[in-house]
Amino acid sequence: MHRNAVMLAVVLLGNLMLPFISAQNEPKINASDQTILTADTSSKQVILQCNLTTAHTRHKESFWMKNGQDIPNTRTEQKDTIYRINKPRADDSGEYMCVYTFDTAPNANTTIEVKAKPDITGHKRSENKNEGENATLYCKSVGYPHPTWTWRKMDGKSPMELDNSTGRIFITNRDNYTELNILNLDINTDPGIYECNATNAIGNNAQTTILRVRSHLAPLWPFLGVLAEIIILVVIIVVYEKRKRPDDIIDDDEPVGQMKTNSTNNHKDKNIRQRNTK
Amino acid sequence: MPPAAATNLGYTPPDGGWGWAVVFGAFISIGFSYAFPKSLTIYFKEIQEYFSVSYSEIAWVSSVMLASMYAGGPVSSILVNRYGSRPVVIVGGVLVCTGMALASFGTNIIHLYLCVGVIGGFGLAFNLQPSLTIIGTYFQVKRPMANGLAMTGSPVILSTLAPLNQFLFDSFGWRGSFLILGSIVLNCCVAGALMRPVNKSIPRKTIDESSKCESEAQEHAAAEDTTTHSDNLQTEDQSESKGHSFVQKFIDLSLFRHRGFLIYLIGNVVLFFGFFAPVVFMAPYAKHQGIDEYSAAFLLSIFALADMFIRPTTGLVGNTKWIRPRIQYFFSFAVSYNGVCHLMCPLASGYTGLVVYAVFFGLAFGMLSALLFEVLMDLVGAPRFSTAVGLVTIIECGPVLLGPPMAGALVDYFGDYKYIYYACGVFMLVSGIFFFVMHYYNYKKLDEERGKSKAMETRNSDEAVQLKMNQADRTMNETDE
Repeated sequence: MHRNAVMLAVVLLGNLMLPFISAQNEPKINASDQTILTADTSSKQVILQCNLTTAHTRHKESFWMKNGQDIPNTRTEQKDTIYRINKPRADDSGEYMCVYTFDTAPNANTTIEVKAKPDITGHKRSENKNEGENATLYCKSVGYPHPTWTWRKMDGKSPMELDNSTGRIFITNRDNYTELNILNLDINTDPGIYECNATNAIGNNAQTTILRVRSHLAPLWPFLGVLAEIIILVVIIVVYEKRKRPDDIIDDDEPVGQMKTNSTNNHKDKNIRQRNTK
Repeated sequence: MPPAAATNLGYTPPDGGWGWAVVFGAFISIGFSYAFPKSLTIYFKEIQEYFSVSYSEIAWVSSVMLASMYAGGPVSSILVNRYGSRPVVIVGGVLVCTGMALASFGTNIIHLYLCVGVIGGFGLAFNLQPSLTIIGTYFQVKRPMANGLAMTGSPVILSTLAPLNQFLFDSFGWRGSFLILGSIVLNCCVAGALMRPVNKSIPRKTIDESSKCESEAQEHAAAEDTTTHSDNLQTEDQSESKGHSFVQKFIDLSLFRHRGFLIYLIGNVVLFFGFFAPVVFMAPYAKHQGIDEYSAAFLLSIFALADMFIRPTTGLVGNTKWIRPRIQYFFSFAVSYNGVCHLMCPLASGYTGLVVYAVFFGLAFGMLSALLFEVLMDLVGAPRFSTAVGLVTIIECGPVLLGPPMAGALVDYFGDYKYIYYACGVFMLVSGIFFFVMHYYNYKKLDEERGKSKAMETRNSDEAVQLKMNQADRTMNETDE
């Protein structure tokens, strides 16, 4: 009985110690804090650092990942690994991870977040469509964390909420992309300047697109105008020619040149002898 | 007795006066004929997306239009021989307008092929031939100048249409633009209205009338045109009445026995293989070298500017008394210069090199274009020019259509643009040398024939004078007695 109690105590103690021991076996990584990219820091270099402080076994190598994808040329065998971002821009933001691989243990990693205001990289400056067609306006952004999108229509200088009372407007939002679809364009209410706004925890950004709606009859007026001009020109030319015609005939009466005719004038007076002496 | 100079025409062309208005009309007509198919390419991207077709299918619109324009040549020639230039040009303008207006309501790509391609192309063919023909009827002495000025229409109207088309496209979309373009093309009808048939009842002027010696020399040179004394002068007079009625009804196939015409035809077929491809590939080649899109487009503008400037200048030079009698050599020089230009293009490096190439190529292209139809007129003469140009265009149809795709195939196969330039340069150089050699031989033959016919004429006239003298003597003797 004495022996059973001692064994129980050892097992209990062992169980109590287990977390501490396993904690000591887990590798610890010291990493830099999250960074926020702003306009001020755009010229400074951003340095992300990872230190492997405690490890049970010797690690094999380490590398960096961004947003779940390997960053090439970052594999080293050092315990301390550094990733530099030169001249950071909005698309350099994201979730960075330093990963340590081991021979006999699973990988260990830490995440460092680099956040920035969203930057709108893709949008159409203007869209021209005919009446009754469908218009698609879009905006693309880069930046982490992914923004929430809102679409507004500019009324003069200030943006207004979109009026979807006619139910023709559909908005599709994805992580870094948004699309505004307007079906069956109406020439009276739809034309104008539309603004897409991307907002995240750090800040927001917006871009505008001009939507123009052409009416079906619009080309008809220039067509008729040019037609009229052509008819006038043709009439002028024809009238000028009809008036010129009589003048042409008068011109013909003028002696243009003496034709060398076989003039028999010289033979009229037969008394004059004509001899060609050669 | 006046030399048998202008007898081939039967009247003296005015060489001025209303002729310049006709040149302006021809300027517009020719300009639209050449520039219109090229300027439509701006709409292709939008139409391609609208009808959901591939790029090659949309490029067919341009090809069909060009093919119809060249294939309509003989039809146009027959109509011009029958009815004169004016009605044909007006009908041509109306045809293109209807084609474009119908196309603006098109619902599928086949519709576009028919309306823009076939109808539009035929309309443009009805513009091109008559304009060239009527210049030949109005001008003899100043004809190279008139031709040069008329051919300037092509780059000028292209430079006007390109930004205009862009503006119309932004404002009205492709359907509206086609409608408005249809109305703009009706200006060809105005040009046609200007093409009053030449007044043939003006009596012949004699050489004594000319005041200046230079103009006399020019008239002489023009009179000793290769046309008047080329092949079978006597038989031409005899079969003239028969030939004219034949020409009026059908195509005058006797042209195929005409030495000058054959030289021109063979040389041109080789030439046209390498004529248009360098223009088509200039911008892609520039982009391939790493030049941005706007600078590449600017290259084309430089090319067009050089082209615009050199055409009237070539006309002026071709009119001088030194060049006019031997204008075929000038043309051969222009062709060879084109070839040399293309062969040197791969040596051009960087943007400045390409700019220099664009300038020289523009000059070469313009020189050739200005002389292209003038030399044909010089070879076959104004009466048969209409038929000749119809036959030439329908046979040139092949190389013109095959040239750019073949060049494209070369690019795809070799992956490098310089082979196009080598190929085109070789084609044009071969053609130029062919022209030089054949025309030297042709001029020699013509001089021989002229010498022979002149000898016969003087002999005939001497005999006639002798006969008259004898008769006069006899009558005198009779009256004396």
